[in-house]
Amino acid sequence: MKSLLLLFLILNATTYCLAQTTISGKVTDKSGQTLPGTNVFIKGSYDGASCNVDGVYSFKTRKTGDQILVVTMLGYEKQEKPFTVTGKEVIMDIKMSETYNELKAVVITAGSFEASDEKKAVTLKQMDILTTASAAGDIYGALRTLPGTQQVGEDGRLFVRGGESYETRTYIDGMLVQNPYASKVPDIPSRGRFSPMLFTGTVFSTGGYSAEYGQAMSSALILKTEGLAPKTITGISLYSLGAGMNHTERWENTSLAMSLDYFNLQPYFNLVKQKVKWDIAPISLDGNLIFRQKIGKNGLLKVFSSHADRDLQLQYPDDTKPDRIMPIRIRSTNDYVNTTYTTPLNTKTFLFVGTAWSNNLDRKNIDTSRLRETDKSFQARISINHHFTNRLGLKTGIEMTNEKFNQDFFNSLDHKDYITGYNETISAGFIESEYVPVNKLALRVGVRSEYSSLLQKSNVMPRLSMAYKTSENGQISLAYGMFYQDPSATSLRFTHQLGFEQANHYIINYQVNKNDRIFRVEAYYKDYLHLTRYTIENDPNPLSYNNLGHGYAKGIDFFFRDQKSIKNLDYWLTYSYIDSKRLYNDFTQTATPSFISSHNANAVVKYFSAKLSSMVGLTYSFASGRPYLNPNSSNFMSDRTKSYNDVSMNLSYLTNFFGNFTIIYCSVSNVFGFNNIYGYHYSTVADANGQFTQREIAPDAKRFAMIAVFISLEKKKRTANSSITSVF
Amino acid sequence: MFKIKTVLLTTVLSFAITSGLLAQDKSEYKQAMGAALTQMGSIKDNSGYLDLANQFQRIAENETTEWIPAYYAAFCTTLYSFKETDKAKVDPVLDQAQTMIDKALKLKASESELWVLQGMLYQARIMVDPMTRGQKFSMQANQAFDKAESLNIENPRIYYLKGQNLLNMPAMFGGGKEAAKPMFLKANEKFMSFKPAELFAPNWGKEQNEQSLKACQ
Repeated sequence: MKSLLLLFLILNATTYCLAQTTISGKVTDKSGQTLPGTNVFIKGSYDGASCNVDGVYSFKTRKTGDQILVVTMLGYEKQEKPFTVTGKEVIMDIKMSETYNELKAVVITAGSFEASDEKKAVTLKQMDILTTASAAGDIYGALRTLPGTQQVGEDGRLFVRGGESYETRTYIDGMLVQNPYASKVPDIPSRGRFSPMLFTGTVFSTGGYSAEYGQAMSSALILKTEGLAPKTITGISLYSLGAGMNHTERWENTSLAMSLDYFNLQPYFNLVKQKVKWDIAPISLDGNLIFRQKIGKNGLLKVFSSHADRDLQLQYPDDTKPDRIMPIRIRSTNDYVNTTYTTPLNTKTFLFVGTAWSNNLDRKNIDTSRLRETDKSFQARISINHHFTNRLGLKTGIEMTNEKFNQDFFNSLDHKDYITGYNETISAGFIESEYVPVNKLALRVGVRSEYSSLLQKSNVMPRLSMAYKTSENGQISLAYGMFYQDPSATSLRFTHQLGFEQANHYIINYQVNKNDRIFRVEAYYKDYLHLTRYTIENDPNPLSYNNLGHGYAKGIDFFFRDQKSIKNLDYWLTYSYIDSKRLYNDFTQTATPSFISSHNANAVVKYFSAKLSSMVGLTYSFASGRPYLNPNSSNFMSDRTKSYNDVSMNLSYLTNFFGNFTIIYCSVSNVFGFNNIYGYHYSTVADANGQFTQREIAPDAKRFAMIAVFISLEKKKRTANSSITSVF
Repeated sequence: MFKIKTVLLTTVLSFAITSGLLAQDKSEYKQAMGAALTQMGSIKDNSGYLDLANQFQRIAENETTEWIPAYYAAFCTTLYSFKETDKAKVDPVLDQAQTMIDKALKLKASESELWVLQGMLYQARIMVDPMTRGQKFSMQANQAFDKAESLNIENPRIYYLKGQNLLNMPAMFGGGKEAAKPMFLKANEKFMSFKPAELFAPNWGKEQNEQSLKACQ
């Protein structure tokens, strides 16, 4: 009997085992969209299936009793559903919820253009900055092809959305760069100090930026340097204007890169006639030292230091006396050291500590007078970034910035020294939270507060931005922020009885990004308050300065980029319209300042031919006429220059030079030789007819051409090799 | 005579092993792997690779000591990524493949095949944006292949993929047909004598290598 029972049991068990149960159902996301390819299976077994194109799965199992159904799909939270197999067919429909996904989550785009090689949702790649024809290797030159910027040919610095050049600040790895441009020479454009090759990421913010950044009313340019250098490499650069060398050494956890560049424009000026009479053509010597040390598992210490020496002398018209020219010599030295350390404190918290030290000395001889200007700054910052979850992060930090500005002017007319300057320390703190409740929506709320020891005033600046995904490829983004900044050195060196200047930004942005095509349109309104006013420039009387100026800027920016339609062709088109007026500086009435053209347009085209190993770049820039002050006219700032046109071209040819990867590069600006006029200077004394003599502000030469050869030498066997990015 | 006997025995044995008859303890594993691997030859469209990757992943979930199912899950996912036309979708797919490789490497870090696959995954990353990613990932791929070589110099897939790397690289960077050809020849030689070390271990690439070699002629 016992054995019979056993037999029965065994038989029963066997049939039970052989009986298969069908498990099926449909897998969808929260919105009911089917999810083909979802993996559905019973935990602890091989039984399972993938969903078909209709999101339906179906499989058989021999398992019985209580089981767990596991459902996994890329981009969705894994689900485990307990259920019981009783022998009857099981039908289970499953709804999946999206995981937080950096790639899928909406990114706040209002007011910012990002270039990065690491992230996906960016408008530009780092290489685009290098290969923009009109930029000639200058970061700021490349950014001038983006909407929201102005073509101010005689200045070269960035003027963003109705803001003066000092309203744009540059940061490297989160730390301030006090003097990002080469020292200003009258009517000659300044270039950026740093080569675009040094950076792996660029965020160019034209407004509404994060509370992390202060003391910039219009724009923040945030540059990111690379981590450990990838490999040991030596490079030689030969330019028609000079030569350079660089070497990078890479050890396991350390890397050190050095570069030295020497430029001398004399041979070029001998060859190509310049309008300006140069006594000493610009000579410069630039050196960089970049050190990286990995500390612990994920900590990284970065030290970036640079040194630059420049010298030049030119003959400049003396506007106080007709037909007289005078020599101006400018010698400048700039040192900059930026040190940052980042380390995770735990898996969710990151610590950042950084310092930036800058020392700039300009010595100018203007006719027989002498001017000595020193600008020293030091910034220290500590911040903590904590992620409560993938979707909620908080960043907070404190910062101290000290600037000592000193000008010693020796006037040869009265043989007197005029010493002016200031010592300003700004203490600041910020806190900002980023919240992505669903992948479709992102919010950023922050506040920044600053105290100025010089002005003895404090401020509080709220910053808000958000983005919402309206479709798979489209999104709307909004930003609002208050931005305070010290008055510029022109006024601060005479008086401290001033307050912060202020700008409020309101931005709305719409962007579609599909199949390597991007279209974005952004409208903004900017309110300027407490701008500095004075009666005459360089007035030593502190009482002639006040904060009663104001202004506005409003406009719309368009950007379209297409990398898809024609193979190997990449182009972008931009158009900006701006309406801006202000009452500031020595303006006698509200007017549009001279750096503003109402209409700006750019077309940037790049064509790469793998067959010819070449890349051709073309840039067309247009800017409508700019206002200028005509003392012969009774209307203030009502005259306009003619419009600006430029077509620049560049060509890169990639080749091998004795087995070493080599790039031959040449660029020419203003290929068609448009006669561009940036504005006019007037004599300060009227002639016999009571008229002030006019003089054009125009480029030094119609065209500028450059040829360069970059050779990269690698010791090791050439397996990995360099690509264009490493050598430019 | 003795020799013939041995040969016969080995043939029978290996046949038995491949058909999963001999082993009884892991018959379910072997059956599932065998079935999945058979399917691999008859994949019709690209989504088939994803389904197959799912299948291998299900096996990997159960067999927490076997590196091979995780290898194939990553392998199929990577193959899938090669044909994905929407570039934006490639990286998340490869992230998925990477988690499977990481899982397999935890089980057997000294496996040459896993490092080959790791290199192949880096090659797949290049495809998303060759202009900006070429340098970084071709270097990482080569590092992975070097590692694979240090673990098993006889692995033919190392040389096949190294050859691919060179073939896709512009001539001025030291790539091109002429540079790639010796690699394919070397791979060919290794394929002749290659025997997988264990059941279901990777044994692909011979035909692809021959095709690549032809392309270099």
